Amino acid sequence: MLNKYHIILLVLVFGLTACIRSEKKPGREYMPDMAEHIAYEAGSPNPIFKDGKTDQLPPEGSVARGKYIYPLSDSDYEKSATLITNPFNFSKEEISGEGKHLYTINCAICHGDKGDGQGHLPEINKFPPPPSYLNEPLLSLPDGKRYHTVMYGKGMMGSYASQLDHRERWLVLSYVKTLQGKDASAATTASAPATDSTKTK
Amino acid sequence: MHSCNPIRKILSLIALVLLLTVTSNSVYAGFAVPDVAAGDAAGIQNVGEGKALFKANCAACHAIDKKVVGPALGGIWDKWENEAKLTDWIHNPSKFLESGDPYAQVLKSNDIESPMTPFPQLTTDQINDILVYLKNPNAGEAAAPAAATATTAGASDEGSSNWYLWALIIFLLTLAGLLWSVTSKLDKVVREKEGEVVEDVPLSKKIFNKNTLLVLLLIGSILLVVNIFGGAIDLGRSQGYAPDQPIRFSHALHVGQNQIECQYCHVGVEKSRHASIPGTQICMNCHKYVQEGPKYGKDEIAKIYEYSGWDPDKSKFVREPKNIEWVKIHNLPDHVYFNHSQHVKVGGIKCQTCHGKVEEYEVMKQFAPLSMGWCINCHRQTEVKFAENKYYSVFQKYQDELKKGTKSKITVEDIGGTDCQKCHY
Repeated sequence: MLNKYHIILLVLVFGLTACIRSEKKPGREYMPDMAEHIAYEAGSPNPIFKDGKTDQLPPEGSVARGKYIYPLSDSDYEKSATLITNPFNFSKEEISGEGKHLYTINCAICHGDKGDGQGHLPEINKFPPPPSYLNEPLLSLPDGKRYHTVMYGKGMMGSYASQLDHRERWLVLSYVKTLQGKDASAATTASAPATDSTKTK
Repeated sequence: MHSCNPIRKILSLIALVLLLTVTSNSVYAGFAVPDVAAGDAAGIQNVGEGKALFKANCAACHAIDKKVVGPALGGIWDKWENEAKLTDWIHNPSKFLESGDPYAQVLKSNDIESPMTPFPQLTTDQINDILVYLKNPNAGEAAAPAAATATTAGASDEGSSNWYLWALIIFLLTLAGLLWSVTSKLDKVVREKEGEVVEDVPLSKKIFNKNTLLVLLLIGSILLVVNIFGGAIDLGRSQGYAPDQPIRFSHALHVGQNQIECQYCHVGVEKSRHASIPGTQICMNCHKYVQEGPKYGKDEIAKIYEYSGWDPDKSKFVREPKNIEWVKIHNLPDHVYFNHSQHVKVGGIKCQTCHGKVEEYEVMKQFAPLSMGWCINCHRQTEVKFAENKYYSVFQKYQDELKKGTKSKITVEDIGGTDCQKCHY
């Protein structure tokens, strides 16, 4: 028989669950009909594909419209010096605005705001310092080798191919040139091939 | 005679190969690199110069005590026959490999993935300084390790404070109970002495009388109502949601201490609807080198290696990468459209405005309620960068009003930021 003590106890126990709000659980949902996603969202698991991911790479051999395909493989570092040149004509504003912004996000943490290899991580001894842009051999490194390094990484540096697209890579490299005291904007690169512009100064 | 020749050839070849393998595996006598004593000023200066040279030239690929891209350089003096040969190697590695020197064979057999960069500019004195630094990496800086241990000790005792509080509460409650029973017993003794007849009422009946039961029932029903209706009003919103993640990644460490920009990992935030969760290749940009964290040691970083298929001993990817199943924290209902790039790139809204001080979060959590009221409120108050963004030049009426001064600012609401179809379609 349910007596009054049982009822009080039941009410109390259920009531007390209001106090238990675990941060590890997202909370209750009463009418999830329009809240829960029917379509598979980016980054969500997916039973349809073999690897279980919704985010899929384009089929092998297909090229997205306008997408740049880097022609060299990891081991072609030396070849890149002559084969790869900057196809863009950036304005000074683009380089000092967007180029600097991207450099600050992706590079400055190790290479430093001035490009001297004294970023925050080397400073606090968490990561070895990269060579300075302001001294040889990096001062006169050909553009192609710079681009190759961003694509595949070099030494301790990883590849930034997934973080920066083709245009952004050249923007960052152009900003690095301004750090080295060279003008990389459209006016100068148009008159001389990009590989030579490193040697003129 | 003739039949003997091939056998002899083969035998001598085997002997040569044996000799080579023996020499390649045997460690050379090595050459001596001087030790630097604590008071040795000239030596300490050499170490300082060597350290600077090491950082500028070698550290991009080599560490002293562990293999990174290149082999560990500590103890290199035991592996080489003499300093002259090491110098030849540093000046021109590819030439040394072809020189036919026995150690060149060892280096060839090491299966080097990326060849050593030549450093012809380093003089023998400079190489000597680097070697002295490698032999005595800590000369002249005795105070540094003590400071480092102090900071790690401070960071580790954070989680225990909660447990401490609960223990204190339980202790105080027991103390209160004990004191109460002592006083009631004393009270009973005093009353009996005075001649009063005291009924021995059991404790349970004293607590569970009619009044307390009614109060309990009332409290219980209020909480029940709060539980049901509060949950319903929440509509599945989950402010403060901080689930366990497959890797105990700390934003406090990466963003706070290490000052890595948010966009370094969340690459998509300026380009797409999603901020995007970084793949393991972005983790590995740093964690190929950083193999140990300050709080969990090697445990959590070993998980990245497990997911990415990296073998830290071989410094190679040896397996196919696996998916890290991060638990999504910020869940908007299906009928709401949200775009990160519109807010971060166009609007110039800081990440912290909606996500809180992520640089202080040990565990990532949902900072904002993500309710419609919260969205709308911000759209009503936030000023659009009307003058700076050329896109808004087409809003002729507002531009005129701004010029005349009849309007001091244009909010998101003014340009349709509270229209239903802006977010619901």
